Amino acid sequence: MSNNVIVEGLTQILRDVLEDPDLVIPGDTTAGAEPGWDSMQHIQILIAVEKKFQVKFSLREMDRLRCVGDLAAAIERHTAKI
Amino acid sequence: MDTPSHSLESPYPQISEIPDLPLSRVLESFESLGNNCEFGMMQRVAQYNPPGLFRNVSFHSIDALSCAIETDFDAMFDEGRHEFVRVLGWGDWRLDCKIHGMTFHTGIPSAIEPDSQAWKRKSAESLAGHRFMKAKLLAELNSGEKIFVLRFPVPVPEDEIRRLHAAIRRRGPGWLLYVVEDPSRPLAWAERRDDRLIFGGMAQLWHGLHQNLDVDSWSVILRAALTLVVMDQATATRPISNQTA
Repeated sequence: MSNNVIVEGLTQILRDVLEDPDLVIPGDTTAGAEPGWDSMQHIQILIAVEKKFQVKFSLREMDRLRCVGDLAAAIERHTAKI
Repeated sequence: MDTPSHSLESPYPQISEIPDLPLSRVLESFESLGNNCEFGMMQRVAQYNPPGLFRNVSFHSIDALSCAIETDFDAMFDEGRHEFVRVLGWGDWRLDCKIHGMTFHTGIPSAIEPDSQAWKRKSAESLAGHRFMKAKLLAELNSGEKIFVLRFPVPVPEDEIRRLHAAIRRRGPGWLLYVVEDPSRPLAWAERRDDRLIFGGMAQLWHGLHQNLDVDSWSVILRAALTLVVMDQATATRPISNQTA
């Protein structure tokens, strides 16, 4: 899966969960740093990412997905295996 | 829901790394068991916000938590076994587990009216999120790759802590760190009390918004506890010839 497709899909998920259709988030944005992106929203983002990209994060991965860039890299890692 | 998997590499840092490890990295080795939001606030201060069932929880007894673990959180968040409650003074709706007597923050703004479209969507998402975190916590208890941290606002008989410890140990090789308020000792501390059981103490726990969170004391306790765990693992994995030399 190309990086563009991942970033596009991830952006849409973040816009939906954080309820901001115009949201643009730099890759180093962390949960907690973006208004509305708290631990509760973080769960919704993880669930949506697993569903959209058909991936399953490990326990340790989940705890280390701190920022948008981490999420994109993890999706890339998982989808590359498919 | 599928159970999240885990890898076999060591989940803990090297012992030499611990003193200088950023707090957010130290926190990766710990999982909150409650009670109240203190540990979750610690994680937020460190800009580390992993999903955790007991980050935002309240319950009235340690035995309730032990019982929940002993029964695999049986029926928690099942249909008819939970209730969303609007609480005066809270900014969000509360989710009550009727089975285990626990209450959780939801993040659903309390201004959202029940039975609205927004309510239906957000309550469904909240339930899905809590079920996801329940599965994650069960998997973490089974893998034992975490140090489970409990703080409780009032003193608890040691046998209740030991019951909780036994419940955790029956599931997997995890550790329990029980943190108490200990005004008799000015410096924060952590001591090993039993196999995979650590007690920690600090002069004052966090009891409410009128009070500052004692991040420094938490940092001392967590680093000391992590050091004890890593030392134990190093001893356990050392070849027999070295141990007897």
